[in-house]
Amino acid sequence: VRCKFRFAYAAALISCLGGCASGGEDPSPSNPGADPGSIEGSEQSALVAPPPQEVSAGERVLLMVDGPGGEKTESWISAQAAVSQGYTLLDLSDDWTPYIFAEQRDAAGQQLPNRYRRVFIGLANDQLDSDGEPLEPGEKNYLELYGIAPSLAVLRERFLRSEQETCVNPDGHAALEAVETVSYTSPAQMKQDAARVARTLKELEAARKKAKVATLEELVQQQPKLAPKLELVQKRAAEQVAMAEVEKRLVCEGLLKVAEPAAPGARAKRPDASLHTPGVYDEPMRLAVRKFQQKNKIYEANYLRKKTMDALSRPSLHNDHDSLERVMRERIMAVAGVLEDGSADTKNGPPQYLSASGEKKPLPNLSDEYTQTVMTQLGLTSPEASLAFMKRHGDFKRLLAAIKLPPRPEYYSKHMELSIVVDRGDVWYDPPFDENDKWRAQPRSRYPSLSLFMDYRGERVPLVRWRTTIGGWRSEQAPDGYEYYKYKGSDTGPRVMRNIISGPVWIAPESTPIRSLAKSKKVEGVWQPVVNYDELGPGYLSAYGLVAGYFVIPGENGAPDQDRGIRAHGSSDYLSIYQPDRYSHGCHRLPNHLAIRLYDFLLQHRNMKVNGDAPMNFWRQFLSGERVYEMRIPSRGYVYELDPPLPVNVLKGTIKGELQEPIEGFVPKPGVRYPGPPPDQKPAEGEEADVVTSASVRATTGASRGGPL
Amino acid sequence: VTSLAPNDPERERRLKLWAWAVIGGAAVLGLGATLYGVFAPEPGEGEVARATLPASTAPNADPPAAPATPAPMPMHTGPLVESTQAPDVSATQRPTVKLVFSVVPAVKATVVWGKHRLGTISPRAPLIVERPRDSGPLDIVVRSPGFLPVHTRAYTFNDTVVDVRLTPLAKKDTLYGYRAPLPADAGAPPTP
Repeated sequence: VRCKFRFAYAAALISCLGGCASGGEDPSPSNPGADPGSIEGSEQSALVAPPPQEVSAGERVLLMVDGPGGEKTESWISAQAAVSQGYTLLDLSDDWTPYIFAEQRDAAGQQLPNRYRRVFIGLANDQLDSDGEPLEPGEKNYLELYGIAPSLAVLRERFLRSEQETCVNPDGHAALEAVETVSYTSPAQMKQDAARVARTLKELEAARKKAKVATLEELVQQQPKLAPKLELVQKRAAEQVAMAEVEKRLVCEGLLKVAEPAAPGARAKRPDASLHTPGVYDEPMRLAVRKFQQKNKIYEANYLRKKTMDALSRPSLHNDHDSLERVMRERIMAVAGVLEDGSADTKNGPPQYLSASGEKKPLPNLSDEYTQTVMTQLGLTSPEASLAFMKRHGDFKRLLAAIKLPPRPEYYSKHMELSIVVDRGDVWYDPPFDENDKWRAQPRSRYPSLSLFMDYRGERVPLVRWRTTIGGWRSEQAPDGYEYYKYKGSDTGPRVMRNIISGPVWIAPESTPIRSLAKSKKVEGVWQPVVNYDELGPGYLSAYGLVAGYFVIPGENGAPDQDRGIRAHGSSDYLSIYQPDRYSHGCHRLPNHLAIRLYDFLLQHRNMKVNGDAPMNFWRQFLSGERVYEMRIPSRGYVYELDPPLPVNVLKGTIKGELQEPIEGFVPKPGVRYPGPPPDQKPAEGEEADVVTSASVRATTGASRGGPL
Repeated sequence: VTSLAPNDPERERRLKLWAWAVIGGAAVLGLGATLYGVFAPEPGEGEVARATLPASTAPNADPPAAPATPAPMPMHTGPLVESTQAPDVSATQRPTVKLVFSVVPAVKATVVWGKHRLGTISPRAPLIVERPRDSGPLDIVVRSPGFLPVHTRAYTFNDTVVDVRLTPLAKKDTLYGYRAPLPADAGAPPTP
């Protein structure tokens, strides 16, 4: 009889299975930090693996045991025995998803399907594209940077490839190590830059001869003011050599194809835009670097900066091992239901909480602690050991591993007193250009942050603190079809989060610039214009990312909640989060993988119910060129309802600049021609037209009229 | 029955009547056949023509069910995207979904999916396409002479009605996103 059960109810069901747990395997490792008498110990069975993952009764799971020589060897144990002995089952299967995309059931046991689950799994396994359609043979997704970590089957393929080809050139390794970054020079500026360097070198040589010294280094010792010039020449020379090594590496990884040099005397062919020209940071190179960064989860904006260069100089097997550790980290944190990652630490160390014994204890970094513990337990302690693990397992269609997690801190419970605080940091309301329509800098020293706080024993302790976004000046399309600037601020004050939606859909308002709503896509072998559903979702690229929490002002006395459109959501646009001059439209963005962690955690530690798919009946048409585009959105996403809702507070931050309140309405963009005044400034009948041509005039006009600024 | 002599005037009158009756009947039959030829549904159109697309384009999907008795036409009264009613259990268990395409106003229109011509929507019968369930969306183009082409999408998560509103070429200024051309003096600074 196939008896399926959920981990959360495993203990109860094990007894119904008639002593399955008592017999069989006797795993040797003991729980190193288990304290049977602790609060955690008593709750562990209820808290372990709340995702409703299903396990068949007789299923055997992997257990790594210490061999006689201290090495790890594989053994197998029944799932029931593992759970009864305090093991947590870590899902290493290819169809793993975070909790937000897990298969859920309603109270009656009916499945509540999630539309995006299949796509998420297909993307993680390099089988589907973002629309859920088959990938071209051999194509890879590389979406870890955007919140979708590769499956273990995908990683296995990488490990096996790396075993054959390390992609490290022993002769060129020093060249990569010699530079920290490679300066970006656009193809259009290359000749100019090369001429500048040649000129500088000529100047230095002339100075050297005049000074009658043997080398340029001696010259600089004599004339230190020439040092920057020599540095430039030497840096460019080193970068040129490093660039050649980068090309070799990217070709080896299968990410870059180089154009063959034309044979002498051969007729010149039209250059293939998909092929790279050696030495040039062209579009194929940019795309290859981006793929490499996506593959290795490096946030460096398609440039050859430090982390990218470091990864390029490492053997691919080492990068694969790092990838495996990151993949395991997400799965371990999900199954353990923990969030603390050290991000709330300050220069004084980690935050402290008041323990039951009355002493102050530092908040642990459970992300690191648990990951290292599990990697060690599974014997994944080196690239070579990880490769051996991959080779032992032919596939990962279904693989569960029994792991022993250290006990969680005492403040953990089923329903924790949690709240979110968003600090807006430094805020500018002034337009980002002056009275002459020249751009002006708006520096910030404090950036916005999102913190999750825990109330415990009368104290508020931050569990995590992550960089996020606030709103700012953005392009908006007015009803006249032209784009203007508009200040899209982030609401402040107390709010609540009632709904969390996985695979959320962003319903583009009519003010969304049309240019962002259409794209070209290959459909059944033909390129055709389509609505840009990447932007709308559901999907990792969508405006709301893979998951969103909805901030609302709770309705009182039976009134409905007031939704001002502000969410804390995932995003693939990591530059908008980490660059100093980038803003959102008012929402608080997080990298997708952090948003998943946050909402997985909240759903596991707050009372909630699963409402499931929220179908909707939405369509809208718009014109672009001579085509009508029709966006159709069949579902709002997959809804989880927090009950009670989660308290949220958005702090005002520090207002910088002259304006203390944002300007309302449309502001013409500098340098853009418009048919007349912005639609919200059209003169009333009989009034004289007052065409506003710049943001500064708009601001002045508003001030002189006593309107909001 | 009365027999009539060969040169009897009454006999000649009756023969003429028969001849006219035969010619008239043939004409009616011919007209009927012509009209049938003009108005009969084309292959791939309406309820009789059900385009079942190759399942090979959809991974991980069960093979489409053998063609069965055509299901009753789903009701739709407006620009409905997907049924918001509780799903029919038998419908959710089918390995395929039905996509029903129609247009407003009721004119003849073609539906194209990439290089595939899915079929024709006629004024009286929508186009019905069957696809493996949850096999990814279909980005289609609906075209009709005298109207702007519409680029829209049909989902395969469940049975779907795609009712497309067509806009006459002359009325594109009624659509969102239409940009009035700039006047010659646009962008000139305000007169003092």
